[in-house]
Amino acid sequence: MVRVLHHLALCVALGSLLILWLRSHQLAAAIVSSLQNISRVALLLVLLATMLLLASHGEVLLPEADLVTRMTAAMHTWIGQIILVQAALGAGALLMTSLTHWRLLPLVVVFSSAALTALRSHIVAAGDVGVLSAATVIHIAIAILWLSSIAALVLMSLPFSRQADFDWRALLQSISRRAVPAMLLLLATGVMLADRTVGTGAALVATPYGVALILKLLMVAGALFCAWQLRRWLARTDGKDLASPTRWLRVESAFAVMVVVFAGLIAITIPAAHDIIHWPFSFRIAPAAAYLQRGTEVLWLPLAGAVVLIAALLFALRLRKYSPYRALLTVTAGILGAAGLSVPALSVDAYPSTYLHSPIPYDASSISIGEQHYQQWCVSCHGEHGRGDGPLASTLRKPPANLTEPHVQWHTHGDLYWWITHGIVASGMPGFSQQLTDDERWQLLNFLTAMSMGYEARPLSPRVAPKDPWLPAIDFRYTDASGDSISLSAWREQGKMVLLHFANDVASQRIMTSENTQCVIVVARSVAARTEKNAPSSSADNSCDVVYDADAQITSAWSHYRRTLNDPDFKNERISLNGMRFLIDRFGFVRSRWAADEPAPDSAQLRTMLAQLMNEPEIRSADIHARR
Amino acid sequence: MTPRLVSWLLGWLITAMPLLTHAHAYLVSSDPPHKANLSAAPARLKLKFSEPIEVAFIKLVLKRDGQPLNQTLIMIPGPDKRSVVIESAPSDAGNYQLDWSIVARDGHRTEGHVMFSIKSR
Repeated sequence: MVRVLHHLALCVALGSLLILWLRSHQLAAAIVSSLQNISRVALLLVLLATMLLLASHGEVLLPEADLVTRMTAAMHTWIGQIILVQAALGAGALLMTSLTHWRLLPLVVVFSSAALTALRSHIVAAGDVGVLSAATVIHIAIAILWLSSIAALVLMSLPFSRQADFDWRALLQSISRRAVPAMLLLLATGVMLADRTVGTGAALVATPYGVALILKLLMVAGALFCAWQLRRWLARTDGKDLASPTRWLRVESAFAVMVVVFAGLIAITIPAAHDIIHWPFSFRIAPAAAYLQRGTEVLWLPLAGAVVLIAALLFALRLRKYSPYRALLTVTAGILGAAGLSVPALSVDAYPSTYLHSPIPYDASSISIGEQHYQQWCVSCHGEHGRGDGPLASTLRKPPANLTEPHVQWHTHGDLYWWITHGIVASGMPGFSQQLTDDERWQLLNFLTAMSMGYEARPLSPRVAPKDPWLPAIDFRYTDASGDSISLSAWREQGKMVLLHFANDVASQRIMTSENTQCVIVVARSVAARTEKNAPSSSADNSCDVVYDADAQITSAWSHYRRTLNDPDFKNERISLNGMRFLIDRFGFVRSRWAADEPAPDSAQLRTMLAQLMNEPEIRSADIHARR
Repeated sequence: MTPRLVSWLLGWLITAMPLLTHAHAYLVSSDPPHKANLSAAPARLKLKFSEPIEVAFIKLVLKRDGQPLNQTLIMIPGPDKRSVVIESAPSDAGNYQLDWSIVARDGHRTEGHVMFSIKSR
């Protein structure tokens, strides 16, 4: 709540200084003096709040230390130093409040102090220089101006500032006129920031952060409704009767205070984009998944919804001349009607775990363990190779799912996790929450993902499909030439691409590399054993890391990605990867692949491909390895 | 533009406005990764966070089979202040948990842990 006190005090200080700057020449000396006193009290509160902010930051840093140590520690951090500058500016402004000329000066100083809040925000502190940081600064500056203007108007509507010849209407008009471009900027920057902190619609409705944001936006909408009423009053009257606008203004200021309260709440909540989503509904809106599951029938109701919405909008356009309220109601009804028709059609089933992300890394080890679980618990129905043809399949009333078909990819990992845990009532599949631990179910899912993706990966070719990363590389750990244990994904961390080569014999390998590409050769077990007798460093190409896949775990996991259009190997007769090469981009996606018997790209082609991938921006997050 | 139209526009526009958003640093990746099953001891441990952290206020506790280890952890912050390397990595087989607690540059403390196991040879 210290933040709320800080922001509200800042807005009152700014509001009173704003009036003093704009209108002091029209005001009686007593009112000017009162406004100066209000600004001083507000600035003292600002100073108090900054000290409290510093103390609470110190408590975060060193919870067990005494107050002085905490404050000293806080002063050595980024946040602490900004708070100190804000406090210094506030104190400076306090000394300037008595100025009879240069009234703009304290206003600018307090506004700068308030705008520095942007530097404490997540996006700027996170080091996102450029557009997003600029958007944050603009967004916060405009929000402060908006709240300060409301404070200014409220101050001038209070009994102490009543003055017969003061043109309150002109003040409102001047502020109202500037509000439109300001709000447009607020929108543009707000959308950019929300995209960063929330990310998805699911995160907006199903996380505390998202819900707080929605509530705050409702408060903003309430404030804007009042602003609309004020504008209507401006357009309608000559400004003599102040009862109606004063009432609307007080309601608006109450909404504004609530906006600040919710903003303070949001500030201490985990951003939706990073929070765990426990989905509260039994459905989720997913047009693409609904279309894949049900075909073109999903289109009819949304089309009907669009017709309803257009009809409501046209009707409202005619109505607005007679009754804006009825027009508003008509549009609301149109939106609700369109949503009522479209949402069920464009939705698919969802579960509390639908948006959960796997805590288990997508790596060879987990896929190997997952395969063991599959062999123990799933084979009898889904079959040895996942085709739904297990020994018990024919005895079931509904045939088990063929896990090699594309439908596996239509569901989220969280959906599959729910079915493995709780079973599927409609099909008679049992749940495995008793037989498998939480981690084991996610390991099983990693295996299913690798198997399913392997079938999807058949069209992968030696040529890179531009800007279409989708197949996550399977991570694994190995010991490099210097004896350090590292993982394949470590190269991704360094922004390097990887040329991954599965071979039987390391001595014969010659792989072109570039400064942006690391080559990694995985050698099959028997050859590795023989080579180790000599020395690993005797590999043909010193720039390549050589991995001895002693227990064939890496080869086994990656062999899911061996299927090609020419050789899909549906019968699983040739699970060897000998000679196959995979090109992994710097964000961890397999982008091209060629088998030993396929025409490999020559060095010029390879160089072009590598350059193409180096120039490609990040299209999908590397987080896809854990999240989908 | 009529006032009503402006208000309508604003009503629509404003629904996307977050205000004064702050956030927290979270663990982007770790080496070894969370719940990794290692066949060889790692040379070092590495934590990478989503944003710069106040490196002077990192708290780390390494536990083996649930018991905190008494060894001093040698920490080296990365040049971008988003990562930290722990040079004193464990070498014995066992189940390990590295508890981390950090303060992001935006002033929020976050906590978490990374679990991994080293198989006995």
